[in-house]
Amino acid sequence: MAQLSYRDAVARGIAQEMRRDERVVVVGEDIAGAGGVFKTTVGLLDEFGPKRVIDTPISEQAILGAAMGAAMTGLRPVAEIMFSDFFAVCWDIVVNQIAKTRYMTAGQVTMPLVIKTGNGGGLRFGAQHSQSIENWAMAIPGLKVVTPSTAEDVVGLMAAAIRDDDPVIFCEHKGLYAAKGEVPDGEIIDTLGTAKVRRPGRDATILALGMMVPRALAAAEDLATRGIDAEVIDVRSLVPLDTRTILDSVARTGRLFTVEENPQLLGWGAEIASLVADEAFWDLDGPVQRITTPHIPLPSADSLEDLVMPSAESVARTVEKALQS
Amino acid sequence: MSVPPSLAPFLPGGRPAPRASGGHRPRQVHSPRVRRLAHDRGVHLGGLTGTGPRGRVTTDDVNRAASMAELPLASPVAAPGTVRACHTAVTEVEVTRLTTSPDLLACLVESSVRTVRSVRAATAEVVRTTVSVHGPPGGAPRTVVNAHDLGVQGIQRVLGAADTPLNGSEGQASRPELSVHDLRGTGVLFDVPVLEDSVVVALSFGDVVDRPTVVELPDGGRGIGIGSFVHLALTVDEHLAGASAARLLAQVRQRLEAHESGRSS
Repeated sequence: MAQLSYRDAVARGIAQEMRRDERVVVVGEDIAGAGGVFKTTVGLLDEFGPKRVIDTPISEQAILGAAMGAAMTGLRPVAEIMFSDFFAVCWDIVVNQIAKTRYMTAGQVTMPLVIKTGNGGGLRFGAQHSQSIENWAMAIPGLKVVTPSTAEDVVGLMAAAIRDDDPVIFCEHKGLYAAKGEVPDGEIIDTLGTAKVRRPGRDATILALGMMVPRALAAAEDLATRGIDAEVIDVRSLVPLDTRTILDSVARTGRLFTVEENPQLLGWGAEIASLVADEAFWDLDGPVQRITTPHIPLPSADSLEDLVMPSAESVARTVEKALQS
Repeated sequence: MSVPPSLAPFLPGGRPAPRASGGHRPRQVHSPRVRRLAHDRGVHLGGLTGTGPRGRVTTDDVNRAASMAELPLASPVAAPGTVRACHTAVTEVEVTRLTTSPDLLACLVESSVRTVRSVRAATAEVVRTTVSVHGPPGGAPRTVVNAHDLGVQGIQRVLGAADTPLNGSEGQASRPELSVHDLRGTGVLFDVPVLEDSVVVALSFGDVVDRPTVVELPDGGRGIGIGSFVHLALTVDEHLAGASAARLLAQVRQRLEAHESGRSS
């Protein structure tokens, strides 16, 4: 067991799989010599050499085009899109090629490709470098979408993503890179499509993803001081989704809140609200409530960014108000 | 007009959707969870006082009400030494013709009196029969003394009189041994009344229900028509010698069917 930062856990997860399987390669801008702009690939070049850890030109289309070709011809690439906002410039390759190749070849060509990306806001990077794009990706059939919130989960879910034969969008929250957590020694392999109950509770279910998980946990501790026992579930994987853990929790608590960093419209919480309305309506003791960033571009000013993103205070306030009305 | 946050992104320059006025909302709104729990535990939500925010009924309220309902009743009947063991039988009988006239209650009283008298006669017990008639709900019970002396029309006349109790014939009023309970208009098909004091037989009936049934056609064939039906529940004290609820109810039914077909004597 060792203390490991979220950013170091990314490198550890990739290295674990590169040692096991020589087909695993890493490509991206500044990921080799520089160890990644966010330092998530530090040490990989030294251990595995330039044939498996490859710097690319500043072209997201080139990165994903090359990675897709490599995946189609037998490698298991991990490609980095430095800021998830930049998916917008290579979206055709992601949506029309990577997501659909396995389907359009009737399963003859698999796509064992992980696209890791720095995602999310809170770091004053402004509207073009702060977006949470999980809901872009989960709207495309053929893509899997994962967002870990702890260092241990980064290692285990990265291993699971690399071993998966489908393309996985692996969203690393930039605001969590410095966060440290206990990580067991040895090989860690997690399972895609599994959520984790971070804090059990009786009165309300709070679903959160990425950096919203620690904020939801802080909100739950605050609520506990006022007699509200909230359960916090780290969704971790949007596609596939752990519907059982979510529905079981709603069946127990009767109340559901989603904490989403994305702008309100078409956020992942809306999809889960729809699911709960279909499958657990008679368990509900009140309306599902979504706590999201408003439907606006994310501001870069400190005070404004803090104001619009869901915070522990806004989560606690919303849950308490709902349970008292 | 203030715009709720959930609607804001849909309204860049658009018109806010009208919100339901608080004055038009039902006074009590029950969540789906509470409604399902109440259904599962047989609790009537309308009768509950909510302890949740703004008087909302909570799952705890429903569970509490259900637990209360399951407690043994603290009525005199349940007191030691006064427990009366009873049997109840239930049947359904067609009353299509009787419902078109006002004498269904009178026919049932008459049929019950005859049935009780047949038991009494067989055991050479008292032959005077007094009936306590309850219902329709909200009205005071009426007593028909010496009902065995009356036919359907006589009973109907007595029940229609304002100054009951009345005697069917001259004689001293006695304590009722039969009670008839008319629950029509309540939406209830029948209930199982408590046998009070001297009552040894109770007959309960409720709403008359129309439904498709097999009818005889004028040409002797059979077809589907609409018939009116009523449920009868007869409860009898098990110490009433020679009586069983099923046998007594069969007699009442037979007598009522005779009234229905116009063959009664």
